[in-house]
Parts: sequence; structure tokens; C-alpha cells
Amino acid sequence: MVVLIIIGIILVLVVYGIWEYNNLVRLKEEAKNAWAQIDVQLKRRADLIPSLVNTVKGYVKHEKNLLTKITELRSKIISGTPQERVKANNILSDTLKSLFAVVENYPDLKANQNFLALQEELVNTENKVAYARQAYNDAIYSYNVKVKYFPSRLIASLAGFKEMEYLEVEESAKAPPKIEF
Amino acid sequence: MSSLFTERRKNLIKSDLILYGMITLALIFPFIVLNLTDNILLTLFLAGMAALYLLSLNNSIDITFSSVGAEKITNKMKKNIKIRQFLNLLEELKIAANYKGEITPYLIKHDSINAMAISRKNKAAVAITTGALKKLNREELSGVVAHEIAHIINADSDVKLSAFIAVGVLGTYLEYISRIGGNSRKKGSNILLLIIALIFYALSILMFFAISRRRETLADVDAVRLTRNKYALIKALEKIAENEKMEVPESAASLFFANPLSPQLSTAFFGLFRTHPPLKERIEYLKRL
Repeated sequence: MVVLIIIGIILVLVVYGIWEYNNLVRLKEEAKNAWAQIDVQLKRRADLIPSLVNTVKGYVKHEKNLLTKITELRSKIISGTPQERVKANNILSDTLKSLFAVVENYPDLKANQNFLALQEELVNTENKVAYARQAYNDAIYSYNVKVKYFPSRLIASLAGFKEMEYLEVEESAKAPPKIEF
Repeated sequence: MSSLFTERRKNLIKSDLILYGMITLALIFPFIVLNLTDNILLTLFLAGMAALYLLSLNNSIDITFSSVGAEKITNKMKKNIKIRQFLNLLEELKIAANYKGEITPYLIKHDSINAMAISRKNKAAVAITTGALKKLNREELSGVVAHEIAHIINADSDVKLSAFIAVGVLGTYLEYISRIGGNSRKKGSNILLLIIALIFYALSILMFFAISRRRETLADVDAVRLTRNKYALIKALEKIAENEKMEVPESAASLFFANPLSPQLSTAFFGLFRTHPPLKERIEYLKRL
């Protein structure tokens, strides 16, 4: 009888362990998917920027600094840790906003179809990053709760799951950008 | 933000309760018939009627969309920057809503500002009018698209269709009861049946419109939740106040962003038969969130 009870308890523990392990794997996968989404968008932004700089260069003669800064930030959003890349992207978004504000003074550029299309795509990628970052942080939150708290904590430490870092949201990046057309 | 989630739950629970009420009305009617007339054949016929209607739930997205003159957005059309923007917003808000299904984009060639969405299981479609693309800027358009995505994640077209079917079932009962009225032995109970059928039918119509309005409010709340920008939707609604009438089948009217048939209808009695809350009320409600 006692043996049966012990076997029963062990069985329950094993089933619980497998279930909790699968939960951890699933949550980590969710975070990974969200990050993959961000990664794709950051790469797409990096691809768009050279065309933007080329289009704008001819019109905006006095904004060399702004364009240089944008080109520098471009390389930062495609290499480094997720945190570094997203941070660089926030700065890039702000710089682009300044550029778009400057463009208001150049009616020829404002009417340029190529520029408008690039602007639209850049805003699109920025919003996608913002929304995907929310999904990423949500996944990390659920995952970290499992890693930190008993009893799932036991399974996490046994299987080697470690806490993961959030993507910081900067004040200016909390709301999606509002760009008037 | 907390009020956003309370408001969301409130609207969800209320519209669900009304829907269950309607379905109960449609289902208990055959049993009332059985009690009043002992007519098993008639009861079976009415129950069969209800089942047939429920099966018609599986109608297709294409039929509804072509009934309002919407056409699929082709690759060639995607070169247009505003159409591009609409497609981009759909993708952005899909991420925000964490919706994994496919959304097929449609275009309705009309000068008024409007949009509609239908979803069935994991297939969905959103249509936008050319007027909306022309008159709304990116921010305002994001509010409208978020409202439509909210309809999709809340499965509102299924809810509205179920409610519509319940009205249809009760309408058919009423018609049938009124036809057999004269030639039965138990005349008194038939008149009673007729009155009950009439009351149920009238109730279900009012309930249908109530559900439609609730679901619109719910989608407005969710649009703010997705965009975190209530002014996007408020500004779009303000522009819609200048809309002109758009000719669409009455059955499709409740599926639109703003009622296409009667953009400025507003008296207390007609209020009960409105598919959407009045624009003014929607704007005030959003401002309070």
C-alpha cells in the first residue's frame, strides 16, 4: 500500500514536471517569436534607410548632420544584443521624426512619391517594432514569473532555464508615432 | 487604462447576455407550442426550422462582401500609397492584437468614410472605402483599422449573425403561426400563440439592435486598447459626421464601421432600431475612457 502511494506521488510529480517544463519551453518560444518579428522589422528598416538618405540628400542641403546620424544608427540596429538594438532603434525613430519635421519646409520633397512611400514604410516598421516589443515583454513576463516562483522554479533550475531581460520602453516610444500626411 | 479593461468586460458581458436571451427565446418557443396545442408535428417543424437556420451560419465572406460592392485589393492597386498604408496598418494592428489568422483586404469604391470586417474561424476580411483612404490621415485610419481588427478578434460577425438568425427563426415562427391561425380546432390557444410569437419577434428585433450597438462600443474600446491612442478614433468619427448615405443591403448595415444607411438618424424612438450608437455618443464615450 505504502509503495503504491509513493509510486503514485512520484508519478504525479513527474507529470507535473513535464507539464511545467513544456510551459517554460512554450513561453521561451513565444518570446523568441516576438523577437524574430522585431528582428525582421529592424533589418527592413536598415534596408530602407540608404534609399531614404539618397532621396533626401539632393533636397535637404543643410541637414548633413541629421543624415550622418541616421546612417550611423542604421548599423547599430542590426548588430548587438536585443536591448542595444532596440535602444538604437528608439534613437533612430526620434532622429527620423526630426528629419520628417524638417522636410515640412521642402514642398518639392514633400510631394516626392518615392519619399512618401519610404516614409510610410519606415513608420510601418517602427509601429511593428513597438507592438512586437509589447508582445515580447508580455512573453518574458510570464516566463520570468515561472522561473522565479515556487514550485515551477524547481523545474526551471533543474532544466537550466534562466531569467530573461525585458526590452526597455523609452518614454517617447510608448505611443506609436503620429505622423500626419 | 484600468477603466479600459472594465469597460471592455462590461460591454462583452452585456452583449453576451442579450445574445443568450435571444437564442433562448428561439429555442423555447416550440415547447410553448407543445404546451398550448399538444401538436407534436408542429413542434418538430418549428424545431427543424431553428436547426436549418443555425446551419446557414456557414455562409461565406465573399457573398457578403460582394453584396456591398467590395472588391479584393489586387497587387496592382498596392502601388497606391494610401492603399499601401491601409495594408501596413492591417499588419501593424494584427501584431498589436496578436491575431495569427489571414486577413484579406478589400476596397469599396465610395466617397463616404466607412469600413467593415467579417471573420469566420481563422479567416477574416476587412474592407475600406476609397473615401476613408482619401479623407483620413494615417493616425485616423489607424483608429478605423483597429476598430475593424477588434471586431475580428471579438468574433463580432459571428455574434451578429447568430443574433440575426435568431430574429429569422422567430420571424418564421410568427409567419407560420399566423397562417395556421384560422383552421385549427383550438382557436383560443392559437390566438395566444400568435400574440406570444409576435412579442418574441418584436423583442428579438430590439435585442438584435442592442447587441449590434454593444459590439460597436466594445470594438471602439478595443481599438483604443490596441492603438493606445483614443484621439485616432475620435478624429475619424468626427470626420464621419459629414458622411453621405451609402446604398447597401439592410442585412449588411450592422457590419460597417458607421451605419451606412442613415448617417445622421437621431430620434429617441429610432434609437432602439439603430445598428450603431450615435456618433456623438461614441465620441463622448471615447473621451471619457
